[in-house]
Formats: sequence, structure tokens, C-alpha cells
Amino acid sequence: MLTALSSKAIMTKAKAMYSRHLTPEQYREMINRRSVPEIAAYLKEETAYQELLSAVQPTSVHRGQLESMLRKARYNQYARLIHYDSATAGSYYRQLMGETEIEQILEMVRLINAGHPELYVTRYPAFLEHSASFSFAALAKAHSFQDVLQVLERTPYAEELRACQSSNTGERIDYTACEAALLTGYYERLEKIIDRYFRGRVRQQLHELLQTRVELYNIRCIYRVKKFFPDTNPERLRGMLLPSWKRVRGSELDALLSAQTAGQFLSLLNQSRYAKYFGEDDFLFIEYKADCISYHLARRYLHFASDAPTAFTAFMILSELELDNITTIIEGVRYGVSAEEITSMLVL
Amino acid sequence: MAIAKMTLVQLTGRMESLDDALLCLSDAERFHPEQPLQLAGKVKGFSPISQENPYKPLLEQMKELSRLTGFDLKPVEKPAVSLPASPEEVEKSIAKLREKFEELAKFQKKLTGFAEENRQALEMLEWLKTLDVSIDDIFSCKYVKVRFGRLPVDSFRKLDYYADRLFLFVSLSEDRDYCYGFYFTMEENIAEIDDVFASLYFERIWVPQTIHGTPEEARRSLQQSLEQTDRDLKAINESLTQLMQENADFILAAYTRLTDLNRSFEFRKYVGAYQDMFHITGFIPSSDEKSFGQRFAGVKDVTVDFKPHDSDKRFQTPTLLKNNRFSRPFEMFVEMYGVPSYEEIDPTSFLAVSYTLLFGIMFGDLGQGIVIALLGLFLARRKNRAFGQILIRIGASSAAFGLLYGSVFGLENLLDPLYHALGFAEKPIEIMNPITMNNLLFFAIGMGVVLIVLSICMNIALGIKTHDVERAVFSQNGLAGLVFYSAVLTGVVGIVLGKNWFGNPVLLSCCVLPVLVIFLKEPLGRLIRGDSFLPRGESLGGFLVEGVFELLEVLLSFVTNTMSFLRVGGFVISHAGMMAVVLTLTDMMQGSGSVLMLIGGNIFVMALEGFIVGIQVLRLEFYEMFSHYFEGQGIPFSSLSAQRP
Repeated sequence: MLTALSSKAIMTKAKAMYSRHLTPEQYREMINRRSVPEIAAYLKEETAYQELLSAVQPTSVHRGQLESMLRKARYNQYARLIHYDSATAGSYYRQLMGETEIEQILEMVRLINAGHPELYVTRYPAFLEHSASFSFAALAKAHSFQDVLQVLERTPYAEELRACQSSNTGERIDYTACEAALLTGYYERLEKIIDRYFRGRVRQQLHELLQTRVELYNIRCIYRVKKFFPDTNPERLRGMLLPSWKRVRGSELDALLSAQTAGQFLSLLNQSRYAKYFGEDDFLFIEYKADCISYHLARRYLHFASDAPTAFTAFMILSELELDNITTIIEGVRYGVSAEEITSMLVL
Repeated sequence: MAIAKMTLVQLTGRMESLDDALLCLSDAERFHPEQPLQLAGKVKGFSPISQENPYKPLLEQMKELSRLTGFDLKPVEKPAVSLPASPEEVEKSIAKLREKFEELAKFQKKLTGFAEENRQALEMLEWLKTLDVSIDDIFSCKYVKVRFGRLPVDSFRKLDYYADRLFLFVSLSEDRDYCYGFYFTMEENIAEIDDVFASLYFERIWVPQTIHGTPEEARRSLQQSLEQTDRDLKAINESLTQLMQENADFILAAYTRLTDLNRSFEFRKYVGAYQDMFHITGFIPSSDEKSFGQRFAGVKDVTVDFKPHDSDKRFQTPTLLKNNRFSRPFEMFVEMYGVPSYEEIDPTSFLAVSYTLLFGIMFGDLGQGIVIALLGLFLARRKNRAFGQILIRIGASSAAFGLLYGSVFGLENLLDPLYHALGFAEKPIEIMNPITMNNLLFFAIGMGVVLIVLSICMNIALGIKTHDVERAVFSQNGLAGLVFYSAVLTGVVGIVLGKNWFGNPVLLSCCVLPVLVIFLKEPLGRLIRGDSFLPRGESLGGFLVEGVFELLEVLLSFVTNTMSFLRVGGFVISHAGMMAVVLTLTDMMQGSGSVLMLIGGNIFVMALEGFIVGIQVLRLEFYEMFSHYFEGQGIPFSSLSAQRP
């Protein structure tokens, strides 16, 4: 009964928190601000971020610091929701936080490849240190892939990344292989937990949410490769994908991978079940369209959710998209992008 | 039970007339403006107006002066002094007045600044309170560079990474987000260390010149200085107040004018500009067309165009609910679920009647109903008008059903003389009678069936109105669902009466065929629209599997929706049961204890049961009725006049 009660508490609180998300009018107000301090002031005075930003001086806050504080607000919300979860440490909600750990590992891999691992220390979210499965501070001291593997030794990530280790120590780390390996492992663990702990409609809805995310990731990946690296071997491309397709069958996938150009890929995609989501001619930002699909799916699930896991997962997706929107506005205003163009990039 | 008919309005005029147009518009009671951003980007050269409000700083100055002098600043209907027409002239007049205040105001500003500096310095000293050395000594170091400021707590945790660099950070105080302290380094390393701290989002805080000695010494000195400054400020403010009183008429007139101009300027966010013309688009109720047009008759170079509400597909027509006096307070509940879209049916009246009825049935008690109604009357006059009005209605319904149940504050026999006088042997409904309880449950189900059927009928009507054949005919909330539901209910009634009507081929086909239609609703809808049977990319197998599970859910929902109304009967019984407990406890007590128990018990039951019943009825409305016909995807009509500060 306690589990049932805590489950309802998570669901109700998630919906209540979502009701305080930014509205289209608030986004418009922010877009009309002329500088980052004005946006910070607006967020501080007019939105649900009041409490978090109460100590911030809008005139002196750095853009990176502001974005970091907004991320912190997001994780605080998750923590407040997970607080009601009385299950063990391996529970579904805690497992969802694993995506953040993967982001951190990949950030470090990117920096090592760029030759600036020392920059990681300024970027990692120290507020998550206590709840992560490895030490971000230790990761900040890594200078090579071997160091990274050592830090991750007691986590499942080490085993997943070992396969991506090159025999030549001086060689660049294969970032896409690392990303695919880590995300594959992450989604596989998540799906096992879903199958283990949930039944019926909840299980079906969670699979729908996660598999849609996986498929959108794969579509973005294929499109980018076809656009910028059209000569890539289909088998190599297959290796970059996450192994889960719900709406596209094996033969259709082969055809997509074998497309010669990005345009051909889109035409083939138009004949699949994704036809109603993607148009042939509006692929300037494939991430944008994919985010729109995630947004509408998550919103629908949150609205109609009668179970906590679904509500929580949908809420996480929506929070992430809100943060992306705010970042888009901050950076758009910072770099003088027109209001119309910023608006066109928001996922609403 | 209606949604007000809307008209799309477009105001066009020259930019010179914009202020006058906005002033007229801001007085319009019912005008829902649309954002020009929807048109910007689509029409070349068309863009929203983005200007700084010139009236706001003037208003702020006036408000600041009034705040300091205690002058009661508020807009007046008929100013004693008339002002020049143009804002520039108004500004000149204010400037002349300001000159008179200038001398005093300058000194006041200086003192205020000084006081503010001292206060900030005192605040800063809070961060330094754990320091027991002189601040002058720290900053007078010759070879060591010092910086004071605040570091985010998250960054403070990262300082270990830089353990090999030559610096020392001393944290003096911490709050939730920041650590306040000094960092020290050698002169030759200052650039590097400044860089490190900048990357960790360190915010440097300049220590004011007014702080000397240890923090404790500085605090004492600043306190004394602040007290003297406050005394001087008080004297200046008194002089300013006198000056304000002497010019009160002009100040009030200027404030009134500036408030109007500021308000209308704020509405510029709804204005689009194209070359030297402005465009404002919005919606008004069609009944207001004439009066709205007349409003702009005196404004030069402004044209008002009225168009059908759906003439521009870029705008979604907002919804303005129009209900009678009885139903109007219940709009609050409807809006909780969602605002009906313009094409939908307004469910407010249906909800008002059903909610009032259901609440009355579930909470029937004459005395408690009257109390709730009186509470509602009190609330309606003082605080939350809509909620208070709702309480009046449901309290009255409760009282009416209380008459039927013969219950007054839980006392079941108090109304017996009344029944005898009316010719009844006993009360019409004895709740705790086992036969009555059974009948109550059947009645509750029956009521639920009626409400569900009505909801489905409304959905069918809506489907016909919007020419949505799938919705009106093929869906579980359409004709197919109605036929199926009615057929199954008929069969069930037959079983209860001991007859097997399910054997009848007509009834059986009325049960089976609609299920098939519901199963195939989407493909049938697509065929009607001229599309293919299945969407592109969808396989028949996938459709069949999904369809089976959805159908099972639909069939189950018919049962659960109906059974859900059992709670109506359940709460009637539980209410009577709870009051029986209160009376038992009352009987166990003696004297004043008994009276207190009766009163306290009634209050407890009214609060608890009333709250629960209210929520349960709302749940029935939302889940069992609205889910059949109401989507609530509309935009609420938001009048410009409601945005007046």
C-alpha cells in the first residue's frame, strides 16, 4: 500500500510541477529581452525559477552559470519526485538518472579528443556528485581513455567502453562507438528493469516512450551521416545505431541504411510509419522535428498518465526540452539572432 | 449553455494615431488581442513593435516621490487641472515641477545613495563576520594579491582539482548557493588564478571604501553613520511632502494621464507594424460589433474591419462562455478541465445541474445543507465569489434531499411531525433500511446510465455539428457506442427480471455489430474521407493487435464508467452511517459534552464528507461524463481590459 501511495504521490507531483513549466507567452517575453542579464532577471522574477535564482545577481551572472543553475533546478525537481520512491536503489527512477552519467562520460571523451581534458572540471555538475555511480571529480583528473576506464572500473560503463579502446595509445577515441555502446547498455538495462518491475499498460507505455526516443536517435544519426558523410559504409553506420526499432522492420532498415543521399533517406522514411511526423521538405533541423515528436508524445502521456513511472518519464522528457528551449533563447539573444528565428527553433 | 459568437476584428491605421487607438482599445470591455508574432515572418516587412516604454520611468519617478513623502498617489476620474495633450508636453510640465524638487531631491538622492551604500556594506559585513582581522591590513598586502567575492557552492567543491596551483581560498560564510570569501595569490600568478576562478563562475565583490578595521568595528561605525543619514533623510522627506501637498492637483492629473499612457503602451506588444501603418488583430463577441466600431469613430486614420471568426486560419477563435445565473459559477470547474473550443458544446449547464443533483443526493441533510449554503453566501460576499456561489447551490440541493431523507444534522426523526402533517406515515426515504439501501444502489446505477447516455448523445450532436462522421457514428462515444450500450443494458435488465433477452437476434446483433464498427472506426473514418483503409506504413497485423487491445479497453470502460456511479449510493449510505456514529457518541456523553459532540461531529462530517463528496462528484463529471464528449482544447477569451494594472 505504501508503494501504491508513493507511486500516486510521484504522479500527482510530476503533473503539478509540469503545470509550472514555461508557457508560450513566457517564452515570447524572454525572446523579446535584449540581453542575458534581462533574461536572467525575467526568469528570476516572473517564472517558477524564482526560488532557485533568488540569490542570483542578474547583472553579473555568467551565461554558463545560469544554464548550470537551470540544470540544477531540473535535477532538484527529479530528486523531489524520487524522494517519494520507497523502492530499492536499483529502481526505475534512479536508473533514469544514468543518462546524465553517460552525458558526463561522453563530455570527457570529447574533451580528451580535443586535447583539453582540463576543461571538464569547470563543466561537470558537482551537485550530482553524491548520487552518481562514479566520481565526477575523479573523472575530471583523467587525461586519457585508460584513465577514464579506471575511474569507471566499478560501473557497467567500463565494460561497455572497453570494446571501444584502441590498441594505439595515441589514436583518437572513437566517440560514436562510445556513444552507441553506452546508450545501448543504458537502454538495455532500462528495458530489463521495465520488464522486471512493471506490467500491463505501464510497461507498454514506458516501452513506447523509450523506444521512440531510441528510434529518433537512430533517425537523426542516419540522417546526419548521410548528409555529411554519404560515403559511409552501411555496416559501419549500423554499428552507430542503437539496436531497437519499433516501427521500422528489418528490410526497411536495410533500405534506409543503404540510401545513397540524405534526400533519398528522407524519401524512404516518408514511406515508413514515420511519414506522418516527418515531411520531405522541412528537414533543416532534424533534431527539431525529432524533439517535437518527443514533446508531443511525452505531453500526451503526462496528461493521461495514471501511473507514476509513465508520468515521471514523460516529465523528464518535457523538463529536458524546456531547458533546451531556454538555452536556445539565451544563446539566440546572446548572439543577436532574430526573434522570429529563435521562435522557430523552440519546441512548443 | 452557450459559447458567445465571435467576430474577428482588424484595426489598421497610421502610426501617429496608435496611442489614441490603444487608449480606446484599453477601455473596450471585451476584446481578445492576438499576438502579432503569428503574422511576423510570414509577411515581409511586418514585425511586432519593440520599443522602450517612455512613460514607465516617469511613472516610477512619481511613485518613488510619493513613496518617500507618503503622498497618496492614485488616478482620479476628473482631474482638477487639465494637462496638455501630447506626452512630450506632459513630460515638460513634470520637468518644471521636478525643478522645484531638484535641490531637495538631489540632496535626498545623495543621502539615499549613501544610506544604500551603508546598507550594502552592512550586508557585506555579514559575509565577513567570522573574520577577526582588519580589512585594511588584508588589502594593503604588498606581495600578495587579494580578491573578495562569492563562489558557487558547486564550484567550491571543485577547488581540489587545482590543488597544485598557488592560491588559497578562505571561505568566510556560506548560504545555500554561494560561498563568500577571499582568495590570495602571489602577484605574478594573479592573472592565471583570476582565470581559474572566472572559469568557476567566481563573482568579485568590491569592498566599499567605507569599510575599515575589523568587520565588528566597521559595523559599529556604519550603524552610527546610517542612523545619522536616516535622520537627515527624514527632514528632507518632510520638506518634500510639503512641496507635494502644495502641487497635489497637478501631480494627480499628471499621474492619471501617465497611467493611461503607460497602460496603453504596454499593449503595444499586440501591435504589428508595416511601413508606417499599425495593425492590431483580435476577437470580440459579435454582439459588441456596433459599440466597438463606434468607439473608434473619433479616432483619425483608423479603420475597423469585421470578419467572420474563421476567416483567418492562423488564429484560433477564443471561447467566451455565456451562461445563465445558475450555471455561471460552475464555469470554474469546466475551466479546471479545459476551456471548450469554439466549435464544442459548453458543458457548464449540464455540469451545473448534474453536479448540484449528485451532491445533493450524496450529502442529503437539511441542517448541514443550510449551513453549507450560508457558508457559501458568506464566501460569495467576502472572498471567492464563484466558489461561494457553488456552495449556495449545492447546499440548497443538499437541504432539499435532506427533506426527503428526513435528516437534520444527523437526527433522523426530527422531521416526523412535518411528514405526519403532510399526510405521510413516515419519512419518504429511510436510508438505513436494507431494502432502501439496495434500491439506492440500483438508483445510482440508473442515474449513471442516464448521465452517460446523455453524454454520448451530446458527443453525437457535436460530431454531427462538426461533420465528423467517425466521431458521431463509429466511435465508442458515437451512435455505435450508444446502440451497444443500450442493447447491453436492455439485456442486463432482462436478466435481472429473469428473462434472457440476449437470445433475441435483434438485441444480439445490436450488441455485436456496434462492437465491430467501433473496432473498425478509424479505417471506416478514413474510407469516408476518401483515404486508404489503413494509414501508410501501418500493417494489418499491427492494426488488428492494437485494435483488439483498444477494444477490450473500450468495453471495459463501459462497465467501469457505469459501475463508478455506485459511489453515489455508497456515499448516501456512508453519510448516514457517519452521522449515526456521531449520534451514538452523542448519546454516550452527558450534558454539555453531548451538545459539543453533536456540534463537533456535525462540523467534522460536513468538512470531511463534504470535501470528499465534492471531489467525488467532480471526478464523476470529469472521468465518467466529460471523457465522452468534452476535449477542452480551446483558448480562453482573455480581454485586454482584464490586463489593466
